[in-house]
Formats: sequence, C-alpha cells, structure tokens
Amino acid sequence: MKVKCQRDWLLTACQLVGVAVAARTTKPVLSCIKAIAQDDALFLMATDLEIGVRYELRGIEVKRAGAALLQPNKLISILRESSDADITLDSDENGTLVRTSTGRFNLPGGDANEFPDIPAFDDGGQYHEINAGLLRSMIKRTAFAADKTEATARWAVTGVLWEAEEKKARLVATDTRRLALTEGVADVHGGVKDAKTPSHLVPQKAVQLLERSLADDGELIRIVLKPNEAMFQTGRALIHTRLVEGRFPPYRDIIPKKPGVTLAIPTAEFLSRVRQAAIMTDDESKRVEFKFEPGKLTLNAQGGADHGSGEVTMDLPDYQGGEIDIAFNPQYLIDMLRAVESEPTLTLEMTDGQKPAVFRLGADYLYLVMPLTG
Amino acid sequence: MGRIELLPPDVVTKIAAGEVIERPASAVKELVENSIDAGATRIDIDLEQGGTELIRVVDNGHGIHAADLPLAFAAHATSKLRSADDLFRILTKGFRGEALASIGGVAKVTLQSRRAEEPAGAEIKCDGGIVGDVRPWGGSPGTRIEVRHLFYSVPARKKFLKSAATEIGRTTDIVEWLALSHPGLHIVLRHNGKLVYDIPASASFTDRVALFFGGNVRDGLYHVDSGPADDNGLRLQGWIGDPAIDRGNAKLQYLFVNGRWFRDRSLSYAIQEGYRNLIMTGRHPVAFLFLTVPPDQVDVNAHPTKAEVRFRENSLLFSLIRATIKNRLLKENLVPRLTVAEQPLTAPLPSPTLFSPRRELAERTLAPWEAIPARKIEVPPPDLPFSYSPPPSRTPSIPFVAPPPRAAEPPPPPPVAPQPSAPPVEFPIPATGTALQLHDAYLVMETPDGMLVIDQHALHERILFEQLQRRIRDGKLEVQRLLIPEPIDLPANHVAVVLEAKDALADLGLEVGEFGGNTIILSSYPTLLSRRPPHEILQGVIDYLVTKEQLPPKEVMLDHLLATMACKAAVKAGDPLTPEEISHLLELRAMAEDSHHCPHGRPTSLLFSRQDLDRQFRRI
Amino acid sequence: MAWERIHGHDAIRRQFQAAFARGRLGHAYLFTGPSGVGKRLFALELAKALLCESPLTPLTACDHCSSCALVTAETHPDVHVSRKLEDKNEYTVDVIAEVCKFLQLTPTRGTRKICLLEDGDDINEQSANKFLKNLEEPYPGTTIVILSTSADAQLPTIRSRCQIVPFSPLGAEAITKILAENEITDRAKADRLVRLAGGSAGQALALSDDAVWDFRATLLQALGSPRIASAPLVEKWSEFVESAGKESPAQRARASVVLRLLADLLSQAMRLAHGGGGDGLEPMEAEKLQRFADKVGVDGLVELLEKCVEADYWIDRRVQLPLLAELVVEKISRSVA
Repeated sequence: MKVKCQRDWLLTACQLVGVAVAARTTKPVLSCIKAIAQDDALFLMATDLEIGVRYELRGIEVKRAGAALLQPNKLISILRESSDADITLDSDENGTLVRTSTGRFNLPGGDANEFPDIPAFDDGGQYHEINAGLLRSMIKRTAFAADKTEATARWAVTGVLWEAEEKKARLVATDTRRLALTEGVADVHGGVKDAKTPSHLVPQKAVQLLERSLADDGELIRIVLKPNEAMFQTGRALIHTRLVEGRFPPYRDIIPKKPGVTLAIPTAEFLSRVRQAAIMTDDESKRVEFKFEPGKLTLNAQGGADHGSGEVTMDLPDYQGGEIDIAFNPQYLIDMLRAVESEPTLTLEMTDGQKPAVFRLGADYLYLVMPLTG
Repeated sequence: MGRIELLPPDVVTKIAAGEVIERPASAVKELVENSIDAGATRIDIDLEQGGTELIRVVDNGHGIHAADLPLAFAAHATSKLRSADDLFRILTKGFRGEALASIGGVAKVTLQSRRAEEPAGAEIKCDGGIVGDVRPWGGSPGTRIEVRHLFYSVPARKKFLKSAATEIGRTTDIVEWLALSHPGLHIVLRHNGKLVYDIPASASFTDRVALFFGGNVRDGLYHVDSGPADDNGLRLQGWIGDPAIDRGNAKLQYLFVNGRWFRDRSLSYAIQEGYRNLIMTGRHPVAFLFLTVPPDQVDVNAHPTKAEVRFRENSLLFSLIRATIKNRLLKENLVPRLTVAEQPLTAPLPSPTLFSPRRELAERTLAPWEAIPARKIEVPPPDLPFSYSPPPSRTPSIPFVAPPPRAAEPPPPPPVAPQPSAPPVEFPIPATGTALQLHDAYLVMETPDGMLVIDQHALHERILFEQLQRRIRDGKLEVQRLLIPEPIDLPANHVAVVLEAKDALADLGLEVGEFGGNTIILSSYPTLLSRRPPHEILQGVIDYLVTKEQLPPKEVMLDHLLATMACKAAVKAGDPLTPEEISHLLELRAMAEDSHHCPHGRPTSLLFSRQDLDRQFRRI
Repeated sequence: MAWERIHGHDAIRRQFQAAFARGRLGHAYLFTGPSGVGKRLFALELAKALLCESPLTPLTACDHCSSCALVTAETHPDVHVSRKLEDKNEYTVDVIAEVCKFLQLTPTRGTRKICLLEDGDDINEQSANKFLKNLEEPYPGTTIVILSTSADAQLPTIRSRCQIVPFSPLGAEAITKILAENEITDRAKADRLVRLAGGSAGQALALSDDAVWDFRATLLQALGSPRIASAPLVEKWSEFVESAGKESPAQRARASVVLRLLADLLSQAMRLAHGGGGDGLEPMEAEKLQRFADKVGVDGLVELLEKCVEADYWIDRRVQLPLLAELVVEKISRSVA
C-alpha cells in the first residue's frame, strides 16, 4: 500500500480511530490501526474485539492499493511533530515507511490479515436518525445509570437498552437500584420492528464512545440495530459494537402509576443542597434523609458518633402536600441532577419512604430511584 | 429375617415417647431404611410437593409375606425386634416398629409387596390409621409403598411443615447420607416428576465420595482403621481428608455408628483435634468415619429422628477418633513439618545422618496448605488491647522475646518462623515513614527496637473490619432496596436454608422471598456491604448458615459477614502496593484498635528485635 | 490442511461432524486427556471450521478465508481463548470475568462464538461459580470448550454441565507424522522419541531437543560409574532443569522430561537385568546400564522407578524442583553404595 494524503486529516483520523485500540491486549496485532487503501480512499480501523471504529478518508492519492498495520502512538507523534501539508505512507510486509519533507520513519508492521476488518456501514434499509445534540443529551441522561461494576447477577443491565419506535428513540439504563429512561425524536426509516424482536442492549462503553465522538450538534447520526450488532454513523466515524446478550428487565412494570404527591423542584438549588448534605456521609453508608413538609425540605445526614452530622434546608414555597420522610443514597441523586443541571425545574413524584421516587422532565425523561430503609 | 411380630408391651414403654414422623423427610428415611433392611439393591423414591402430596418408595427387596401385611401397620410391630434386650443390640436401622404405623396413622398409605419366591403379591391400604383388607396384587418382587396426603388427618402438624423447597432439601440430605453409607445401593430420587438424583451402585465408598464431592476429594482421602475391635468392642474405620482439601465448614464430616448416620458435636471436635496444627482455625477437615460400637454401648433412642445418639463411653470414642486420625496423619509425615516451630529452638537439629529425603521434602514442600506458616499455631487469646502509649499500670513492654541462642552450631538453621507463639507485645510504630514491600505480600519497616514484618492482607483486613464494626455500633443498619429485585438460583437445600432464615436475614437488610422452583428473589441489601454485589453477600451468608444447626444470633452473623467482607475487600498477598498506598496503610494501622490480629485471629505483624538480630549474627 | 493437521483423533472429528450435520452440536465440551496429544489444536481447528466463511465440506475449514486467518492468529473477535495468568496457579477471577464478558456479548461476524479455556484443571470454585450460569445455558450459537487432563480434575459443577470428549494418547504412527512435520525425520531418533513420549506429541517434541540427549548421556554416565557422587549430579540436573527458562511451568515440564528419561533408562536396565536386550540402545549404553543393573538388583530398580513416579507426582504439587533432584539422586547413590 502506498498513499499520499493531507497530514492534518490523517492526524485527526488516527486520533479518532485510536480511541478504540485495545488498551491491554495479549495480541500485538490489536494494538495497531489497520489501514486499507483502495480507489481514492483510505480506510482506518481499530478494535478491541468488542467495539470497532472505522474512518474513511476520501480524495486520497492512492499510488498502490493494499492494507497495512500501523502503530498509532508513533504515527500520531510523527504527524503531530511535522508541519508538512502532505505526507506519504509506503507499506510492505516488513513495515511502513512514513515520509515527510524532512524525515523518513520506519514503523514496524504486521500481517494485516490477522486483523479483523470493521465492516462498512450497511443500514439494510432499516435505521433511524437522531440529531447529534439531542443524542448527546439522551446518552448523558441515561448511560450513567447502567451497571458499571457488575453489581448484580443480571449482565443485561450492563448495557443500555436502545429502542426505536415510530418517530422516536428510547434509551433505558438501570443498575437495579435506579433507572433512567429518555425518549427523543428520531427519523425512523424502513419501518419499526415488531415488539417480538429481542431488545438491543448496547454496551455502556460503546455508548460512551459514541457520546465522545459527537461533534457538531446539527449533524444527523444514523443508527442501525441488528440482532447481533449496532452501528452508529457519525459525520466523522463509524462505530461498530457487539451487543449485550440477555433480556433487559421489564422496566415498564416498575414505573409507579399513581403517585401520592407531585411537586416541582428547582434543579440547581436541589443539586447544591444534596451535595452539601452528602458531605457528612461516608463510604460505608451513604444516606441522606429527606423530610418534605409544607413549604420546606430538610436534608439530614447522620454519621456515627465520630462522624458528625449535617442538616441542610431548602424552601419549597409551592409545596402544600403532606409530610414525607424518605432517605436516599445522595450519589444516586447527584448523578442524575448533574445530567439535567441545565433544566430549571424537575417534577418529583413520591408515595412514601418505602416506594421508589420518580423524577420527571416533561414527558421525555424519567428517573426512578429506590429509597434507603432500615 | 422377615416375619413381622408385635413388640411386647415392655418394649413399647422403652421406646421414647416422641413422634417419629415429623416431616416428609423422616418418613422417607424410615421407608428407605426399611427397604435397605429388606435387602434391596435398588430404591426409587418419588415425591410430590416436597413429599406432602406423595411419597412413593419402591424397592426390589425381599418383600413382605401377605399374611404379615396387616401387622405392618399395627403399632410397635417389627420383624426385627423381639424383646427389650434387643433394643440394646440394634444392628438394623429400622428398629422402631412404629414407623410404618405412625405414617399410616397420619396419611393414606398403600403397601404393596411380593416376595420373590411367591407367584403373586398382596396389597393393603391404611387410611388415617384404619387398616383395610389384604388384596392380591400382581406387581414385581419387592415392596412398593405410597404415602399420600401426609398429615391430612392432623392439620396441626401440617402447619409446621415448611415450603416444598425446604422439605425436599431435607430429603436430599437424607438420601445423600444413605447413599454414602450404602455404596452398593442404586437410589433414584424424583421430585414432581423431575429427576433429582440418580445414584448408580458404586464399587466402593470412595466412588460415592467422588460422585457427590468430586474426584479431588476422593483422591485426597486416606483410609483409616483403628484395627480389630479393642477391649471395649470399639473400632473406627473410614476415610479422612488430606489437610489440603479442607473446607470452610464441617459439612464434609460424616459420622456413622453401626451404619447409622448421626451428629455429635464432641466427636466432631475429636476430628478437629486429630488435625490439630494441620488445619487453620476456621477450616474443617474432610472425614467419613464409620464407628463400630457394641449395640449395648450406644443408645440410638436418644432422639426420635435418630440424628443424635448417646454413647455409654463417650470419652473412649473421643480418644479413639483423635488418636486414630493423628496416627494416620503422622504416617503421612505431615505433622512433624508443621509442628517444627513448636519444638523448643534449643533442641538439637536433626542429625544429618537421619536424613530422610521424604521427610526433608515434606518439611520444605510448598504444598497448598503451606501457605499457613507456623504462625497459625495457637496463640494465647489476644486480650491485650493495643494502645500506642502503654498504660502505666502495666509492666513495661518488652521487645519481642528473642529465641535463646542455639545449642547446635552450623549448618545454619532452616528458615524457621520467629517464635510465633509469643504473646503479642506492644511496640511503638513510627508515625510516618515507609516500608519495603517483599514478595508483594509483606511490609518490612525499621522500628526503634528492631524490624517489623507486616502481613499486608491481614493488617488491611483488620482495619476494614474495625471500620465496618464501628459503623454498626454507631447507628442503625441502612438498607438499599432494589428497584428490580434480583432472582438468584440456588441448590434446593440452600433455598430451604434461606427461606427458613428469612426473618433473620431481613434483620440484616437482606430481604428474600420465594420465586418458585429453586429460585429466590432478593429485594434489598445492607448498604454497609455495598462493595460486593448483593447476590454475593447473600451467598456469603448462606455458606455460613449451612454450617450451623441453629440460626446464629444477628450480631454473630453480622460479625461474620463483616469479617468476610473485610477479607474480600482488603489488599491481597500478591498485590503490589505503591509507596503512597503503603504509607496510607501504615497510617491507618496506628488508628486500629487491635492492629495485631486480623478478624480471624491471625497476627498481622511480627517484630524482630534489634537484640534478636544482633544475637543471630553473633554480635553479642 | 484443515483437519489433516490433527493426527490420531479422526473418530472424534467424525463425531463432531456428524453432530454438526444433525444440528446437534452441544454447547459445552470438556476435552480430557494427557497433555501434548493435541486437544488444543483440535479445539482451534474446530473453532476455525465452525466459523469458516466458505467451508470445503460441512465443518471443514477452507484455511483461506479471512475468518480462518483470524482464528489462526487468535484475533478472531468471536473466538475467545482464555488461559490462566503465567504467574498464577489458578484461573483468577478477573480472567474468568473476561470469559463471562465474552459470553455475554453477541457474536460479531456471524451467529457463532467459541470460547476455549485452556487450563481447565486450574479453575477454582470461586472462578467456576462466576461462569457456571453461562456454562449451563449459554446464549444460542455459543460453543464452550474446556481442556483438562482428566474429567476427575474438574469440579463436579463443571463436569456435569459439559459433554466429555476423551482424547487418547497418540499412536506411534501419529507421533511419527507430527515429528516429521517438525522436521525430525531421522528414523532412529524418531523411534526413540516415540518410545519415550508415552503417546504425547508434546512430550516427544520436548524430548527432541539435543540438550535433552546430552543430559541423558550425563545420566547414563553417572549410572555407569562405580560410585555416584550425588552433589555434582544434583547440580547438573538442576542446571539442566533451569535452562528450560525462567518461568516455573517451563522448568516443571523440563523436570518431567528428565524423570521420563531416567525412568526409561531404569526400565531398560530392568530388561537387561532380566536377560533381555536393550531396546534401541547403543552397545556402550547397554554396557553401562548392565553394570548398573547388576549393582542395584531388580528390587533396587523397582524402588528407583517408584521414586521417579513419586517425584513426578510432586512436580504437579509444585514442590521445589532442586529438592526433587535431590530426592531421586540421593536414592540412586544409596542404592549403588
């Protein structure tokens, strides 16, 4: 393979693809980027066998078609240090020669056939499109709730449930202590799959990678959900991921239908109070007690004798409902409040100190959290 | 053997007044033992709804004579026992004539039987104690007993039954030990039509062991035999496990007397004693022991369900078991190696002419249990509370007792652990400073008095344990409820244990419920233990509960949980630590209440005094 | 190549192909048998055949498509090969966590995924519990293969969830072929290796190292000498074992080879003591062994052979290797004296 291309393009591409390179691997091949040159294009790809990223550079001068393995760290450094407009990559089975106007760098290579290809985007006629700005906020508001630590026996909840319906897409994540659900407008093509198709559980890692590669708020992201894989085509790259097997718990059943009380909560103020109260909790017991009374909310954090305690209050001038005592792990509230910080108010629905509390943001966002008891 | 006879009244009075049949499992046990006594080689057991709906036991034994069938249900009839004296010479297991009668009194029983030599068999029904007529029956040789609607006539007793899962759990336990003690028997157990066990006849006891507990247990067994019966008519035979296959609980200790399984705390202790110094505190050896005791020396009537027996000479059995095990293990050359540190260090080293490669090997082998250095030898209870400034009333703390100078000269001593049995002593710790990590397991640091070696895992474990304990002492136990309860699959007998302990578990913040089948559902967990996934916390409690005959008090369970938690969360031997981590650990050490012992009682650190070092290097 | 490179297990291959043709491939297999008979190669070939994009015949890899290339390179995303960490005696929980993760993700290139656990003998209870559920009911399209020296070495919980596929020791013909493929064609040498290998191609290849035969000469020299000074022999022995590499598994394998050599020499001596001829021995070698046999006697030889067996047992129990050398050499020198 021999190509000549614009240096800064190639640098951006390598950096983008580089995020998928396996961090720790016993297979040296996987610590490389694979490059394929053909027609007027250069395809770059990287994978850790779970997630793959593919990037296409068009309008490249391909002098000799072929494939090569490139070491991303060295290549990126070379590209960064050079100030040339164009550079040349010349690869054979022994390695790659990188030529700049002032230097020649020999990078060791490898057998490109040993590197699994990342297939090109193929929507199969069924896909949906979401605006990047919306998608970013959808991911931000749900992905944090997925189980990171394998803290449950259900592997399925390590993934984010991704569903497309007529005109909308839905993301749901839970670690069985709390659950976040968001819906957003989507342009659905090729019809909606019927309810019987298995749910698509996108690994948390893939969702986060996707969030990071969303650049321009205006662009449309194309999403394809297949039985065994999901693909996300952003303006910059194609992210390809396998899915988590298994069934997501039937989340609809646990959303309380008839709340006892409903009240509006100023988001920023509430977040600041919860953070203050959380100061007096410690690692072993993260418990803040919330007392809702007409007109005000009192937050109490009680450490042990040698841990101190704290009390924080907040006015709720509009609340005229009954008294409710409920306790939460403050972290579960902070995670969510930070994701919706930009929204002025949230709706909070509660029944009593034993039942889950529901935070809502219009009709598009819902966050359920189970209280602490005992 | 064979004809059923009524027990004379004086025998009746001698039998304990207790009820034999308290639950389906006890009915199964009686019926299966009857089958074994009838010479059966294959027994099929079918249960429905834990045995409350149906218990069916089909055997290929020698069958009951048609004329004897009505007698089978008469109270205190047995074909095995003829007079009161016989009670003291019980060698068959189903000695209690009333078993079948008791079952017949509380259930609908159909008894069908045919003797092999007869062309046809006969059947008889007994419904709530009312015995029907004998009718011809055309089945194959052997006996077939169907017990339906157990306790239907005594609803009060039915109330005491646990869930089907609990009941089947108890039955599987019973089938397990019956199968162990009768390797030649083919036993099939089905529950609700589903196969639970199909245990083929095995050539030997050890094959059975492999079947139930795996090949590694079988291969780790040593045969023991105390030899022909002694003057008291006692003999001990069986198998004991290599210390390498020890267990976290005593479940793999099976005791049988004259073929009958029983439990006995003092004899379990005798086993433990036999392994003294070979097994760490809290670990339990594997043992399958068959005692032969003259029938008049043992009272199997002590307990209605015969799980406990009474021996006339308990102390003789105790020493028999301890000595037999100890001698057997001595032959394996395991003992000298591990007790080497107990010998006074002044003793002359073994003379080189007595060199035995095997022994030498054994002494230096890095076998799995070697991970217990000599320090596991019992230390006096560590009741000296640790404080950094010694209370004035106490005698001034002395540095670590140095071993007296050796009598023997070179060759240099083998690397013997420094006097581990010395009582814990207080020594000041430098508040700051860092330590050198060795083998990613030990920290070595200089102290004003000498050199301190710290077991990083034991120390960290202690620190975490105390932190957790303090939390509990300070406040209430906080519970995180689950939005989506977690289904957990467990073995049938564990489901039983969990459901039985339901209330106690709820006190610990673990809310469990039945989900059906072998699945339970967990809907909350204590936040204190949130470092571990809830299902693992529960598993930890279950592993502990199955070793207990009674539900331990909440505090004990909690302490155990905390210790396990601390152990899991602590840094391990083999974890490399950064200098920052080391100094953090040392800082925490200064704050611990008892930094000398881990929650399991092992020491966390050893001090080599300056004086000691000087002496060893012959500077003084 | 495909299946042709797997020697001596045609019957097992046919069983798999038949099961595959009937659509009855199991989801978990336990390959059992001595080490070095080709269990791992077989498992990888099976994986290749299952994933091949253009199989020649059903369940036979083409060896040309990109999928075959990836399986061979062990970079196929749908094949997970798991082994314990080099410095650990058992599978650690985090290695098993990787296995679980693989089993919990969908396959990418097709509908199948294959998971191979190479050190099946070293799965401890804790690790096993982590993936029992996966082993019992893996997702459709999953094939799990566990390699193990014996079904008995497995936890019952694992054993009962797998179909057991016993691999027998290889016949002389198969080992000769494998040696030939590894460019050992010298007839006499090959025969000698086959005889010593005990049905294990891996062992035959380990024995083919010239250094091994040099050491055998050292052993023979020692046995043939009138007095055996144990210290120098122990030292040579240990040096030879340590030259196998820094890692303990390599050294243990080498120690096992040494014992095999010694046991072979002792059995040859036994033959000679009974008036038989040496099997493939040079006249000089036979002479030395004869002298040794005369001195030690048949009973002595039996004891020494037993010692070798004992030492071999201890190798697996991770006893320090120099101690084993001492154990055996001490015994030899005493039986000569």
